[in-house]
Amino acid sequence: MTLLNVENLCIDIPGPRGTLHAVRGVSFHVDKGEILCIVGESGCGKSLTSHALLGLSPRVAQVEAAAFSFDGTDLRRLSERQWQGLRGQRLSMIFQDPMTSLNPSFTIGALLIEVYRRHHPGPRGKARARAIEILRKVGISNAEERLDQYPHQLSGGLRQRVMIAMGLICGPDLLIADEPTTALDVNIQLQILRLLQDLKRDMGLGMVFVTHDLGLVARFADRVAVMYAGRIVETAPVAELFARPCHPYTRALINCIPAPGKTRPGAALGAIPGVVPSLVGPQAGCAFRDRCAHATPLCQTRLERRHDGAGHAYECHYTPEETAA
Amino acid sequence: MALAGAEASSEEVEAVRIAYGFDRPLTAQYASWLGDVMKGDLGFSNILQRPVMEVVLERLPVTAKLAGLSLVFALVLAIPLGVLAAARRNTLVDRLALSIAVVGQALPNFFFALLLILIFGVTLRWLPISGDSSFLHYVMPAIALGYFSTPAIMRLTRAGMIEVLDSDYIRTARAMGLPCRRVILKHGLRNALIPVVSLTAVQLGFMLSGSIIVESVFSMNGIGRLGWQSIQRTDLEMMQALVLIISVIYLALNYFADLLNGLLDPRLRVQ
Repeated sequence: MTLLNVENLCIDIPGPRGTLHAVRGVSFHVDKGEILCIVGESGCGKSLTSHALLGLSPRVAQVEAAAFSFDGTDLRRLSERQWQGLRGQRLSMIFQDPMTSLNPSFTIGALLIEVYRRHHPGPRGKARARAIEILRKVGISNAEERLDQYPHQLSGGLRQRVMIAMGLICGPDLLIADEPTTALDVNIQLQILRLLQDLKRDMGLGMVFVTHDLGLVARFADRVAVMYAGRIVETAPVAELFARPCHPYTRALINCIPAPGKTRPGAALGAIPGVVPSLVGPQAGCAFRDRCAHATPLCQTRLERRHDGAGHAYECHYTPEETAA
Repeated sequence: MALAGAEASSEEVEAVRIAYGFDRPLTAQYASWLGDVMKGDLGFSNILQRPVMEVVLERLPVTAKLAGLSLVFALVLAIPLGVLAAARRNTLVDRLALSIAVVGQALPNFFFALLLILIFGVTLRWLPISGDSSFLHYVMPAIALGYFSTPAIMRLTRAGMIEVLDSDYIRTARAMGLPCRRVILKHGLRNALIPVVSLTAVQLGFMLSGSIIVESVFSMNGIGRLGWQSIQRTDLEMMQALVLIISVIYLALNYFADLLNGLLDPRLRVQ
Protein backbone atom coordinates (compact mmCIF):
# COMPACT_ATOMS: atom_id res chain seq x y z
CA MET A 1 0.00 0.00 0.00
CA THR A 2 1.48 3.32 -1.05
CA LEU A 3 1.84 5.65 1.91
CA LEU A 4 3.67 8.54 0.33
CA ASN A 5 3.67 9.43 -3.33
CA VAL A 6 5.79 12.19 -4.79
CA GLU A 7 5.85 13.03 -8.47
CA ASN A 8 8.05 15.56 -10.15
CA LEU A 9 8.93 17.52 -7.02
CA CYS A 10 10.83 20.72 -7.83
CA ILE A 11 12.36 23.10 -5.32
CA ASP A 12 13.67 26.41 -6.60
CA ILE A 13 15.46 28.97 -4.46
CA PRO A 14 15.66 32.45 -6.00
CA GLY A 15 18.99 34.14 -5.44
CA PRO A 16 20.86 37.27 -6.53
CA ARG A 17 22.83 35.36 -9.19
CA GLY A 18 19.85 33.47 -10.58
CA THR A 19 17.47 30.79 -9.39
CA LEU A 20 19.01 27.76 -7.73
CA HIS A 21 17.28 24.65 -9.04
CA ALA A 22 18.05 22.60 -5.94
CA VAL A 23 15.61 19.77 -6.59
CA ARG A 24 14.68 19.20 -10.24
CA GLY A 25 11.81 16.81 -10.70
CA VAL A 26 12.11 14.08 -8.12
CA SER A 27 9.60 11.22 -8.05
CA PHE A 28 9.37 8.37 -5.57
CA HIS A 29 6.94 6.51 -3.38
CA VAL A 30 7.11 4.77 -0.02
CA ASP A 31 5.00 1.80 0.96
CA LYS A 32 3.82 0.90 4.43
CA GLY A 33 6.55 -0.88 6.36
CA GLU A 34 9.19 -0.05 3.78
CA ILE A 35 12.51 1.73 4.13
CA LEU A 36 13.39 3.96 1.21
CA CYS A 37 16.95 5.27 1.38
CA ILE A 38 17.74 8.47 -0.45
CA VAL A 39 21.48 8.54 -0.93
CA GLY A 40 23.64 11.28 -2.36
CA GLU A 41 26.52 13.60 -1.61
CA SER A 42 26.29 16.95 0.19
CA GLY A 43 24.32 19.51 -1.74
CA CYS A 44 22.46 17.06 -3.98
CA GLY A 45 19.12 18.22 -2.57
CA LYS A 46 18.36 15.22 -0.38
CA SER A 47 17.87 17.22 2.81
CA LEU A 48 15.72 19.82 1.05
CA THR A 49 13.62 16.98 -0.34
CA SER A 50 13.19 15.39 3.08
CA HIS A 51 12.21 18.70 4.68
CA ALA A 52 9.70 19.36 1.92
CA LEU A 53 8.00 16.06 2.83
CA LEU A 54 6.94 17.67 6.11
CA GLY A 55 6.21 21.07 4.64
CA LEU A 56 9.26 22.46 6.41
CA SER A 57 10.89 24.05 3.38
CA PRO A 58 12.69 27.36 3.90
CA ARG A 59 10.35 30.30 3.43
CA VAL A 60 12.18 31.51 0.31
CA ALA A 61 11.96 28.13 -1.43
CA GLN A 62 9.36 27.58 -4.16
CA VAL A 63 8.09 24.03 -3.94
CA GLU A 64 6.07 22.45 -6.73
CA ALA A 65 5.01 18.90 -7.52
CA ALA A 66 2.80 17.12 -10.04
CA ALA A 67 1.59 14.86 -7.24
CA PHE A 68 2.35 14.94 -3.54
CA SER A 69 0.13 12.82 -1.39
CA PHE A 70 0.25 11.00 1.91
CA ASP A 71 -2.22 8.19 2.53
CA GLY A 72 -4.68 9.69 0.05
CA THR A 73 -4.36 13.28 1.34
CA ASP A 74 -3.10 15.82 -1.17
CA LEU A 75 -0.36 17.56 0.76
CA ARG A 76 -0.15 20.41 -1.73
CA ARG A 77 -3.53 21.72 -0.58
CA LEU A 78 -2.82 21.69 3.15
CA SER A 79 -2.97 24.90 5.15
CA GLU A 80 -0.24 25.51 7.74
CA ARG A 81 -2.71 24.53 10.47
CA GLN A 82 -3.51 21.23 8.75
CA TRP A 83 0.21 20.56 8.33
CA GLN A 84 0.68 21.08 12.05
CA GLY A 85 -1.96 18.50 12.80
CA LEU A 86 -0.20 15.99 10.58
CA ARG A 87 3.37 16.62 11.68
CA GLY A 88 4.50 14.60 14.66
CA GLN A 89 1.21 12.74 14.53
CA ARG A 90 1.10 10.69 11.32
CA LEU A 91 4.22 12.03 9.63
CA SER A 92 7.25 12.51 11.77
CA MET A 93 10.88 13.42 11.41
CA ILE A 94 14.18 12.85 13.15
CA PHE A 95 17.32 14.85 12.52
CA GLN A 96 21.01 14.59 12.05
CA ASP A 97 22.51 16.16 15.12
CA PRO A 98 21.03 14.99 18.42
CA MET A 99 23.29 17.50 20.23
CA THR A 100 21.48 20.50 18.79
CA SER A 101 18.09 19.08 17.84
CA LEU A 102 16.69 18.91 21.38
CA ASN A 103 15.77 22.13 23.16
CA PRO A 104 18.37 22.54 25.94
CA SER A 105 15.98 24.38 28.26
CA PHE A 106 13.44 21.62 28.80
CA THR A 107 13.59 18.19 30.38
CA ILE A 108 13.20 15.09 28.25
CA GLY A 109 9.83 14.53 29.91
CA ALA A 110 8.60 18.05 29.17
CA LEU A 111 9.57 17.71 25.51
CA LEU A 112 7.94 14.30 25.04
CA ILE A 113 4.79 15.15 26.97
CA GLU A 114 4.33 18.39 25.04
CA VAL A 115 4.41 16.59 21.70
CA TYR A 116 2.02 13.87 22.86
CA ARG A 117 -0.48 16.29 24.36
CA ARG A 118 -0.33 18.48 21.26
CA HIS A 119 -1.90 15.63 19.30
CA HIS A 120 -3.74 13.83 22.11
CA PRO A 121 -5.18 16.42 24.47
CA GLY A 122 -5.74 14.85 27.84
CA PRO A 123 -4.38 14.46 31.35
CA ARG A 124 -0.65 14.91 31.96
CA GLY A 125 -0.42 11.58 33.70
CA LYS A 126 -1.51 9.69 30.62
CA ALA A 127 1.01 11.53 28.45
CA ARG A 128 3.70 10.82 31.02
CA ALA A 129 2.91 7.13 31.01
CA ARG A 130 3.09 7.14 27.21
CA ALA A 131 6.47 8.96 27.38
CA ILE A 132 7.86 6.28 29.69
CA GLU A 133 6.50 3.56 27.44
CA ILE A 134 8.07 5.03 24.29
CA LEU A 135 11.42 5.64 26.03
CA ARG A 136 11.49 1.95 27.01
CA LYS A 137 10.58 1.03 23.47
CA VAL A 138 13.58 2.88 22.06
CA GLY A 139 15.79 1.01 24.48
CA ILE A 140 16.32 3.56 27.23
CA SER A 141 16.75 2.05 30.68
CA ASN A 142 15.50 3.88 33.82
CA ALA A 143 13.03 5.68 31.59
CA GLU A 144 11.31 7.26 34.55
CA GLU A 145 14.47 8.95 35.81
CA ARG A 146 15.40 10.10 32.32
CA LEU A 147 12.17 12.12 32.13
CA ASP A 148 13.57 14.60 34.63
CA GLN A 149 16.93 14.95 32.92
CA TYR A 150 17.96 17.66 30.50
CA PRO A 151 19.35 16.87 27.04
CA HIS A 152 22.87 18.03 28.01
CA GLN A 153 22.98 15.36 30.70
CA LEU A 154 22.66 12.55 28.14
CA SER A 155 25.18 11.03 25.73
CA GLY A 156 24.85 11.46 21.96
CA GLY A 157 23.44 7.97 21.44
CA LEU A 158 20.87 8.46 24.20
CA ARG A 159 19.87 11.82 22.82
CA GLN A 160 19.27 10.31 19.40
CA ARG A 161 17.11 7.65 21.07
CA VAL A 162 15.16 10.44 22.77
CA MET A 163 14.80 12.15 19.39
CA ILE A 164 13.44 8.91 17.92
CA ALA A 165 11.10 8.51 20.89
CA MET A 166 9.82 12.03 20.26
CA GLY A 167 9.28 11.22 16.58
CA LEU A 168 7.39 8.04 17.42
CA ILE A 169 5.44 9.00 20.55
CA CYS A 170 2.22 9.56 18.60
CA GLY A 171 2.66 6.36 16.56
CA PRO A 172 3.17 7.85 13.09
CA ASP A 173 2.81 5.92 9.83
CA LEU A 174 5.82 7.48 8.18
CA LEU A 175 9.12 8.52 9.67
CA ILE A 176 11.51 10.77 7.77
CA ALA A 177 15.05 10.40 9.01
CA ASP A 178 17.54 13.01 7.86
CA GLU A 179 20.98 11.43 8.37
CA PRO A 180 20.12 10.36 11.92
CA THR A 181 23.35 8.43 12.41
CA THR A 182 25.86 10.77 10.78
CA ALA A 183 26.84 12.53 14.00
CA LEU A 184 27.25 9.31 15.99
CA ASP A 185 30.22 7.01 16.33
CA VAL A 186 30.17 3.70 14.54
CA ASN A 187 28.94 1.27 17.19
CA ILE A 188 26.21 3.68 18.37
CA GLN A 189 25.30 4.09 14.71
CA LEU A 190 24.76 0.36 14.44
CA GLN A 191 22.61 0.27 17.58
CA ILE A 192 20.40 3.08 16.25
CA LEU A 193 20.01 1.35 12.87
CA ARG A 194 19.00 -1.92 14.55
CA LEU A 195 16.54 0.00 16.70
CA LEU A 196 14.97 1.67 13.65
CA GLN A 197 14.72 -1.68 11.89
CA ASP A 198 13.00 -3.25 14.93
CA LEU A 199 10.61 -0.32 15.18
CA LYS A 200 9.80 -0.57 11.50
CA ARG A 201 8.93 -4.24 11.96
CA ASP A 202 6.95 -3.77 15.19
CA MET A 203 5.03 -0.67 14.19
CA GLY A 204 4.72 -1.25 10.43
CA LEU A 205 6.43 2.09 9.98
CA GLY A 206 7.30 3.43 6.54
CA MET A 207 10.58 5.27 6.47
CA VAL A 208 12.43 7.69 4.26
CA PHE A 209 16.03 7.47 5.32
CA VAL A 210 18.35 10.15 3.98
CA THR A 211 22.06 9.44 4.07
CA HIS A 212 25.34 9.88 2.22
CA ASP A 213 26.65 6.54 3.43
CA LEU A 214 26.20 3.88 0.77
CA GLY A 215 27.65 1.18 3.04
CA LEU A 216 24.84 1.83 5.50
CA VAL A 217 22.28 1.72 2.69
CA ALA A 218 23.37 -1.78 1.73
CA ARG A 219 22.57 -3.11 5.20
CA PHE A 220 19.49 -1.11 5.96
CA ALA A 221 17.36 -0.17 2.95
CA ASP A 222 14.54 -1.97 1.18
CA ARG A 223 14.73 0.35 -1.78
CA VAL A 224 17.29 2.95 -2.77
CA ALA A 225 17.05 6.23 -4.65
CA VAL A 226 20.39 7.68 -5.71
CA MET A 227 20.30 11.45 -5.95
CA TYR A 228 22.71 13.59 -7.90
CA ALA A 229 22.49 17.35 -8.49
CA GLY A 230 18.81 17.58 -7.64
CA ARG A 231 17.59 14.50 -9.52
CA ILE A 232 17.09 10.86 -8.69
CA VAL A 233 19.45 9.29 -11.22
CA GLU A 234 18.75 5.70 -10.30
CA THR A 235 16.27 3.85 -8.15
CA ALA A 236 16.06 0.11 -7.45
CA PRO A 237 15.50 -2.48 -4.72
CA VAL A 238 18.65 -2.61 -2.62
CA ALA A 239 20.00 -6.00 -3.72
CA GLU A 240 19.36 -5.18 -7.37
CA LEU A 241 21.11 -1.83 -7.08
CA PHE A 242 24.29 -3.28 -5.67
CA ALA A 243 24.22 -6.28 -7.99
CA ARG A 244 23.52 -4.33 -11.15
CA PRO A 245 24.17 -0.60 -10.79
CA CYS A 246 23.22 1.01 -14.10
CA HIS A 247 23.97 4.70 -13.82
CA PRO A 248 27.66 5.64 -14.14
CA TYR A 249 27.32 7.79 -11.00
CA THR A 250 25.94 4.91 -8.92
CA ARG A 251 28.76 2.69 -10.10
CA ALA A 252 31.33 5.35 -9.28
CA LEU A 253 29.80 5.71 -5.79
CA ILE A 254 29.87 1.97 -5.15
CA ASN A 255 33.49 1.83 -6.27
CA CYS A 256 34.34 4.47 -3.67
CA ILE A 257 33.34 2.24 -0.74
CA PRO A 258 36.50 0.77 0.74
CA ALA A 259 35.87 -2.94 1.27
CA PRO A 260 37.90 -4.85 3.88
CA GLY A 261 39.87 -7.58 2.11
CA LYS A 262 39.34 -6.06 -1.32
CA THR A 263 40.89 -2.64 -0.92
CA ARG A 264 44.64 -2.91 -0.45
CA PRO A 265 45.94 -1.18 2.68
CA GLY A 266 47.65 2.04 1.73
CA ALA A 267 45.95 2.21 -1.67
CA ALA A 268 44.44 5.57 -2.62
CA LEU A 269 40.78 5.81 -1.63
CA GLY A 270 38.38 5.91 -4.54
CA ALA A 271 37.05 9.31 -5.56
CA ILE A 272 34.95 10.61 -8.44
CA PRO A 273 36.95 13.11 -10.52
CA GLY A 274 35.55 16.59 -10.98
CA VAL A 275 33.04 18.56 -8.90
CA VAL A 276 29.26 18.80 -8.64
CA PRO A 277 27.95 21.27 -11.26
CA SER A 278 26.34 24.56 -10.27
CA LEU A 279 22.55 24.35 -10.23
CA VAL A 280 22.07 28.10 -10.60
CA GLY A 281 20.34 29.05 -13.83
CA PRO A 282 18.66 26.89 -16.50
CA GLN A 283 19.73 23.25 -16.61
CA ALA A 284 19.77 20.84 -19.53
CA GLY A 285 20.93 17.31 -20.20
CA CYS A 286 22.61 14.99 -17.74
CA ALA A 287 24.15 16.74 -14.72
CA PHE A 288 26.80 14.05 -14.36
CA ARG A 289 28.19 14.41 -17.91
CA ASP A 290 31.24 16.49 -16.93
CA ARG A 291 32.43 13.80 -14.55
CA CYS A 292 31.40 10.84 -16.68
CA ALA A 293 33.94 8.93 -18.80
CA HIS A 294 31.24 7.87 -21.26
CA ALA A 295 29.59 11.21 -21.94
CA THR A 296 28.72 12.08 -25.56
CA PRO A 297 27.29 15.29 -27.08
CA LEU A 298 23.84 13.77 -26.62
CA CYS A 299 24.27 13.98 -22.84
CA GLN A 300 24.49 17.79 -23.01
CA THR A 301 21.00 18.31 -24.29
CA ARG A 302 18.72 15.45 -23.36
CA LEU A 303 17.91 13.10 -20.52
CA GLU A 304 16.57 9.64 -20.99
CA ARG A 305 14.83 7.58 -18.36
CA ARG A 306 15.03 3.80 -18.70
CA HIS A 307 13.28 1.25 -16.54
CA ASP A 308 13.08 -2.50 -16.53
CA GLY A 309 9.49 -2.75 -15.31
CA ALA A 310 10.55 -4.41 -12.05
CA GLY A 311 11.23 -1.24 -10.11
CA HIS A 312 14.70 -0.55 -11.41
CA ALA A 313 14.97 2.77 -13.23
CA TYR A 314 17.86 5.00 -14.21
CA GLU A 315 18.54 8.13 -16.20
CA CYS A 316 21.14 7.49 -18.87
CA HIS A 317 21.13 7.23 -22.67
CA TYR A 318 23.29 4.18 -22.53
CA THR A 319 22.83 0.70 -21.12
CA PRO A 320 25.15 -0.53 -18.40
CA GLU A 321 26.84 -2.74 -20.97
CA GLU A 322 27.61 0.30 -23.12
CA THR A 323 29.02 2.28 -20.20
CA ALA A 324 30.86 -0.58 -18.50
CA ALA A 325 34.34 0.63 -17.69
CA MET B 1 36.88 76.52 51.87
CA ALA B 2 33.22 75.84 51.24
CA LEU B 3 32.54 75.07 54.89
CA ALA B 4 34.48 78.00 56.29
CA GLY B 5 32.90 80.47 53.88
CA ALA B 6 34.34 82.70 51.19
CA GLU B 7 35.25 85.50 53.62
CA ALA B 8 37.18 83.27 56.02
CA SER B 9 40.73 84.10 56.97
CA SER B 10 43.47 81.54 56.47
CA GLU B 11 43.49 80.77 60.23
CA GLU B 12 39.78 79.98 60.17
CA VAL B 13 40.20 77.75 57.11
CA GLU B 14 43.04 75.95 58.89
CA ALA B 15 40.88 75.46 61.98
CA VAL B 16 38.07 73.94 59.87
CA ARG B 17 40.57 71.65 58.16
CA ILE B 18 41.75 70.32 61.50
CA ALA B 19 38.23 70.04 62.94
CA TYR B 20 37.04 67.85 60.06
CA GLY B 21 40.27 65.91 59.80
CA PHE B 22 41.15 67.24 56.33
CA ASP B 23 44.73 67.79 57.47
CA ARG B 24 45.33 64.05 57.75
CA PRO B 25 46.89 62.20 54.78
CA LEU B 26 44.34 61.11 52.16
CA THR B 27 45.09 57.41 52.78
CA ALA B 28 44.36 57.82 56.47
CA GLN B 29 41.09 59.63 55.71
CA TYR B 30 40.11 56.88 53.30
CA ALA B 31 41.02 54.12 55.77
CA SER B 32 38.89 55.62 58.52
CA TRP B 33 35.97 56.11 56.09
CA LEU B 34 36.29 52.49 54.97
CA GLY B 35 36.36 51.35 58.58
CA ASP B 36 33.15 53.28 59.27
CA VAL B 37 31.49 51.80 56.18
CA MET B 38 32.27 48.30 57.45
CA LYS B 39 30.45 49.24 60.63
CA GLY B 40 27.46 50.40 58.57
CA ASP B 41 28.20 54.11 58.93
CA LEU B 42 28.33 55.90 55.59
CA GLY B 43 29.55 59.13 57.12
CA PHE B 44 28.17 62.55 57.91
CA SER B 45 27.41 65.19 55.33
CA ASN B 46 29.02 68.37 56.54
CA ILE B 47 27.11 70.40 53.97
CA LEU B 48 23.63 69.11 54.90
CA GLN B 49 24.61 68.54 58.54
CA ARG B 50 22.84 65.18 58.45
CA PRO B 51 24.02 61.55 58.40
CA VAL B 52 24.54 60.39 54.78
CA MET B 53 22.60 57.17 55.36
CA GLU B 54 19.51 59.06 56.47
CA VAL B 55 19.48 61.25 53.36
CA VAL B 56 20.12 58.32 51.02
CA LEU B 57 17.35 56.19 52.51
CA GLU B 58 14.99 59.11 52.09
CA ARG B 59 15.85 59.45 48.39
CA LEU B 60 16.38 55.82 47.38
CA PRO B 61 12.68 54.81 47.07
CA VAL B 62 12.08 57.50 44.44
CA THR B 63 14.93 56.23 42.28
CA ALA B 64 14.01 52.60 42.86
CA LYS B 65 10.43 53.27 41.75
CA LEU B 66 11.63 55.27 38.75
CA ALA B 67 14.16 52.62 37.67
CA GLY B 68 11.64 49.83 38.20
CA LEU B 69 8.98 51.55 36.12
CA SER B 70 11.52 52.46 33.44
CA LEU B 71 12.62 48.86 33.28
CA VAL B 72 9.04 47.62 32.96
CA PHE B 73 8.43 50.17 30.21
CA ALA B 74 11.63 49.20 28.39
CA LEU B 75 10.94 45.45 28.57
CA VAL B 76 7.27 45.72 27.66
CA LEU B 77 8.23 47.72 24.59
CA ALA B 78 11.48 46.02 23.63
CA ILE B 79 10.81 42.30 23.99
CA PRO B 80 7.57 42.04 21.98
CA LEU B 81 9.05 44.34 19.33
CA GLY B 82 12.23 42.26 19.19
CA VAL B 83 10.29 39.00 18.91
CA LEU B 84 8.00 40.45 16.27
CA ALA B 85 10.93 41.84 14.29
CA ALA B 86 12.67 38.47 14.39
CA ALA B 87 9.57 36.47 13.45
CA ARG B 88 8.74 38.86 10.61
CA ARG B 89 12.32 39.40 9.54
CA ASN B 90 12.93 41.89 6.70
CA THR B 91 9.30 42.98 6.54
CA LEU B 92 7.70 46.32 7.26
CA VAL B 93 7.23 45.31 10.92
CA ASP B 94 10.95 44.64 11.23
CA ARG B 95 11.86 47.97 9.68
CA LEU B 96 9.41 49.82 11.89
CA ALA B 97 10.88 48.22 15.00
CA LEU B 98 14.36 49.05 13.78
CA SER B 99 13.48 52.70 13.23
CA ILE B 100 12.05 52.91 16.75
CA ALA B 101 15.38 51.57 17.96
CA VAL B 102 17.43 53.99 15.89
CA VAL B 103 15.45 56.98 17.12
CA GLY B 104 15.82 55.78 20.69
CA GLN B 105 19.53 55.39 20.35
CA ALA B 106 19.96 58.76 18.66
CA LEU B 107 17.88 60.85 21.07
CA PRO B 108 19.71 61.96 24.21
CA ASN B 109 17.38 61.35 27.14
CA PHE B 110 17.40 64.93 28.44
CA PHE B 111 16.18 66.05 25.03
CA PHE B 112 13.56 63.32 24.88
CA ALA B 113 12.48 64.28 28.40
CA LEU B 114 12.05 67.90 27.38
CA LEU B 115 10.11 66.80 24.30
CA LEU B 116 7.74 64.78 26.49
CA ILE B 117 7.28 67.72 28.85
CA LEU B 118 6.49 69.97 25.92
CA ILE B 119 3.91 67.61 24.41
CA PHE B 120 2.21 65.90 27.34
CA GLY B 121 2.92 68.44 30.05
CA VAL B 122 2.66 71.84 28.44
CA THR B 123 0.56 71.41 25.30
CA LEU B 124 -1.81 68.58 26.21
CA ARG B 125 -1.59 69.08 30.00
CA TRP B 126 -2.14 65.36 30.61
CA LEU B 127 0.70 64.76 33.00
CA PRO B 128 2.45 66.69 35.77
CA ILE B 129 5.91 67.85 34.74
CA SER B 130 7.76 68.09 38.01
CA GLY B 131 7.95 66.38 41.37
CA ASP B 132 7.46 62.83 42.64
CA SER B 133 4.34 62.95 44.78
CA SER B 134 2.00 60.70 42.75
CA PHE B 135 2.19 57.80 40.31
CA LEU B 136 1.35 60.14 37.44
CA HIS B 137 4.52 62.06 38.21
CA TYR B 138 6.50 58.96 37.36
CA VAL B 139 4.98 58.28 33.96
CA MET B 140 7.00 60.70 31.84
CA PRO B 141 10.32 60.20 33.64
CA ALA B 142 9.94 56.42 33.35
CA ILE B 143 9.24 56.70 29.64
CA ALA B 144 12.17 59.05 29.12
CA LEU B 145 14.53 56.81 31.05
CA GLY B 146 13.16 53.50 29.80
CA TYR B 147 13.09 54.47 26.15
CA PHE B 148 16.83 54.93 26.26
CA SER B 149 17.28 51.25 27.17
CA THR B 150 14.71 49.98 24.71
CA PRO B 151 16.87 49.89 21.56
CA ALA B 152 19.65 47.79 23.06
CA ILE B 153 17.25 45.28 24.59
CA MET B 154 15.14 45.13 21.46
CA ARG B 155 18.07 44.56 19.16
CA LEU B 156 19.51 41.85 21.35
CA THR B 157 16.10 40.16 21.59
CA ARG B 158 15.79 40.31 17.82
CA ALA B 159 19.30 38.99 17.21
CA GLY B 160 18.85 36.26 19.81
CA MET B 161 15.48 35.24 18.41
CA ILE B 162 16.80 35.12 14.85
CA GLU B 163 19.62 32.86 15.94
CA VAL B 164 17.33 30.66 18.02
CA LEU B 165 14.62 30.45 15.35
CA ASP B 166 17.22 29.11 12.92
CA SER B 167 18.36 26.48 15.38
CA ASP B 168 17.88 22.76 15.03
CA TYR B 169 15.63 22.41 18.07
CA ILE B 170 13.17 24.93 16.68
CA ARG B 171 13.06 22.86 13.50
CA THR B 172 12.42 19.83 15.71
CA ALA B 173 9.57 21.59 17.50
CA ARG B 174 8.02 22.49 14.14
CA ALA B 175 8.53 18.96 12.82
CA MET B 176 6.57 17.64 15.80
CA GLY B 177 3.59 19.75 14.79
CA LEU B 178 3.72 22.33 17.58
CA PRO B 179 1.84 25.53 16.64
CA CYS B 180 3.93 28.49 15.44
CA ARG B 181 3.12 30.75 18.35
CA ARG B 182 4.08 28.10 20.88
CA VAL B 183 7.30 27.36 19.02
CA ILE B 184 8.30 31.02 19.00
CA LEU B 185 7.21 32.00 22.49
CA LYS B 186 7.93 28.85 24.46
CA HIS B 187 10.81 27.16 22.68
CA GLY B 188 12.36 30.22 21.11
CA LEU B 189 11.97 33.13 23.50
CA ARG B 190 13.12 31.24 26.55
CA ASN B 191 16.50 30.56 24.98
CA ALA B 192 16.77 33.96 23.33
CA LEU B 193 16.17 35.72 26.66
CA ILE B 194 19.35 34.45 28.28
CA PRO B 195 21.65 37.16 26.89
CA VAL B 196 18.84 39.71 27.30
CA VAL B 197 18.75 39.13 31.06
CA SER B 198 22.44 39.98 31.41
CA LEU B 199 22.04 43.04 29.23
CA THR B 200 19.04 44.19 31.23
CA ALA B 201 21.10 44.14 34.39
CA VAL B 202 23.65 46.39 32.73
CA GLN B 203 20.87 48.63 31.41
CA LEU B 204 19.47 48.98 34.91
CA GLY B 205 22.91 50.20 35.91
CA PHE B 206 22.73 52.77 33.12
CA MET B 207 19.30 53.77 34.35
CA LEU B 208 20.83 54.64 37.71
CA SER B 209 23.24 57.01 36.01
CA GLY B 210 20.56 58.17 33.57
CA SER B 211 18.44 59.03 36.57
CA ILE B 212 20.89 61.85 37.36
CA ILE B 213 19.65 63.67 34.26
CA VAL B 214 16.03 62.58 34.24
CA GLU B 215 15.48 63.27 37.94
CA SER B 216 17.03 66.70 37.51
CA VAL B 217 14.85 67.50 34.50
CA PHE B 218 11.68 66.39 36.30
CA SER B 219 12.77 67.71 39.74
CA MET B 220 12.39 64.33 41.42
CA ASN B 221 14.11 63.84 44.71
CA GLY B 222 15.91 60.59 43.99
CA ILE B 223 19.53 59.68 44.45
CA GLY B 224 20.36 60.73 40.90
CA ARG B 225 19.39 64.30 41.60
CA LEU B 226 21.00 64.01 45.02
CA GLY B 227 24.26 63.10 43.31
CA TRP B 228 24.02 66.05 40.96
CA GLN B 229 23.25 68.42 43.84
CA SER B 230 26.10 66.97 45.88
CA ILE B 231 28.57 67.60 43.08
CA GLN B 232 27.40 71.20 42.86
CA ARG B 233 27.66 71.58 46.64
CA THR B 234 31.06 69.79 46.77
CA ASP B 235 29.51 67.41 49.29
CA LEU B 236 32.37 64.92 49.29
CA GLU B 237 30.97 62.54 51.93
CA MET B 238 27.66 62.24 50.08
CA MET B 239 29.34 61.60 46.73
CA GLN B 240 31.62 58.98 48.18
CA ALA B 241 28.66 57.13 49.68
CA LEU B 242 26.60 57.40 46.48
CA VAL B 243 29.40 55.98 44.34
CA LEU B 244 29.68 53.08 46.76
CA ILE B 245 25.92 52.46 46.83
CA ILE B 246 25.56 52.58 43.04
CA SER B 247 28.47 50.15 42.67
CA VAL B 248 26.93 47.75 45.17
CA ILE B 249 23.54 47.94 43.44
CA TYR B 250 25.25 47.30 40.10
CA LEU B 251 27.03 44.21 41.42
CA ALA B 252 23.85 42.95 43.06
CA LEU B 253 21.94 43.33 39.78
CA ASN B 254 24.53 41.35 37.86
CA TYR B 255 24.50 38.63 40.47
CA PHE B 256 20.73 38.51 40.30
CA ALA B 257 20.90 38.28 36.50
CA ASP B 258 23.21 35.28 36.78
CA LEU B 259 20.78 33.59 39.15
CA LEU B 260 17.91 34.26 36.76
CA ASN B 261 19.89 32.82 33.85
CA GLY B 262 20.49 29.71 35.92
CA LEU B 263 16.72 29.34 36.14
CA LEU B 264 16.28 29.84 32.41
CA ASP B 265 19.14 27.65 31.20
CA PRO B 266 19.69 24.37 33.02
CA ARG B 267 23.20 24.07 31.56
CA LEU B 268 24.30 27.07 33.62
CA ARG B 269 23.25 25.50 36.90
CA VAL B 270 26.06 24.35 39.11
CA GLN B 271 25.53 20.86 40.38
